[in-house]
Amino acid sequence: MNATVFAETLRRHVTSIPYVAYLAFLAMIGLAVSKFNAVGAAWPTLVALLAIVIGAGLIGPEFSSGTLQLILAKPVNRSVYLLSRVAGVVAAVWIGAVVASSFEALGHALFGGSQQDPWRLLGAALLNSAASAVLTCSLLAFLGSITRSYINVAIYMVLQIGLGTVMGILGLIRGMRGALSRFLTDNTWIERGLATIDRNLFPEVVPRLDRDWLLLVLSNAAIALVLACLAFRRREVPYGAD
Amino acid sequence: MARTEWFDRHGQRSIPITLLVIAVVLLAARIGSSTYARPEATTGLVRWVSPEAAMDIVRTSPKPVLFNFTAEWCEPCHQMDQEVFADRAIADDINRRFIPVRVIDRMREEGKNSQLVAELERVYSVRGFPTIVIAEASGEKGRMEGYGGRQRFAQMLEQAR
Repeated sequence: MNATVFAETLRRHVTSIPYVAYLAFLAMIGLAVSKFNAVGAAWPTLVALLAIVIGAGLIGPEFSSGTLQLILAKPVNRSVYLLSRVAGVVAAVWIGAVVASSFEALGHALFGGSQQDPWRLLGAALLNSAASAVLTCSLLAFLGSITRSYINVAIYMVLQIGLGTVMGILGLIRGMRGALSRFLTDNTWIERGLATIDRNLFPEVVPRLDRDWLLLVLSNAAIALVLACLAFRRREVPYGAD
Repeated sequence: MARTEWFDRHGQRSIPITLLVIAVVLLAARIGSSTYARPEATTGLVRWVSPEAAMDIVRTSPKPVLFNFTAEWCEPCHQMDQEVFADRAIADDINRRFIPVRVIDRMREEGKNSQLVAELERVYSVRGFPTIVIAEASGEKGRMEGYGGRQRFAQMLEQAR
């Protein structure tokens, strides 16, 4: 880990006005959902969105702007550089998760809320949200290391929305009568396979402590980071901007 | 590029060995965890029986049956497991008064349910998860669709007395 790259990445985010405004929004949402029946509602989705938005610019735009060429002219290890960038972005997302969960906790403490003992579930939601952010940023880092500009987030969104849509359509077809329905019923591996890919790449944040879920998310994140480093170390860095 | 450059810590293109080790350890832990998963860890303190086993028990027991229609992917069901069925007082009450039957829907994972599960879902008109049905020979004594918190569940149990 390179402390300078990490600190600079983090500074770039925490000093931007949209980021600070989003943190304020997360704080308000956290406070508002403390009156809900379920603990850890809504804000994990917003934290996931934050991870996608700031993870989009993790490495790709530096290819396009030519900044990366300048940085890698120095004796900087490519993997260390990439991982430090990922760590900086993840830290910025974690700040968002901590703010949202802290304000929800404050809401429970001040207003009571409908839950008798929300602390354990809230802690689990924070932990899971943080783990999910690591996976999102790792996937975006991998996609960013094999593409350029913001193409990583385009692929990410197409995959996420596409998988959900295809699974929904297949479910509808299976519910109807006809040859296609019979085919899907006889070949359940198609839907199972898509569900497995979806569960591994885009796991839904759960408001409970689940060791298996955490291991799934973190192991996939680690694999994505290894692949990102392997791709990035071989990557040609062109001169100049696009 | 020479292979030795992969492991040269000072090289610009060396691979991150520590990260590689972490990935392997996490993957091994994940495989190990799923291999040695403890099913009782997710089902709380209630002594659930399978629908198949319940068919034999109901013939000899006068107790009403408490059906818990659930699914692996159903998040409110897991929340209910943690908040209701892991509650010692509620679990003891259920174990004492009912034959608790856990009916797990596998439609989303496997594309179909066993004949018994499909029949139970049809008979008790299960439209979503979780659905709790308290049934005895004369008919339904209580029903809760969706999870509305521990309080609502406790009320339903009370009304079924």
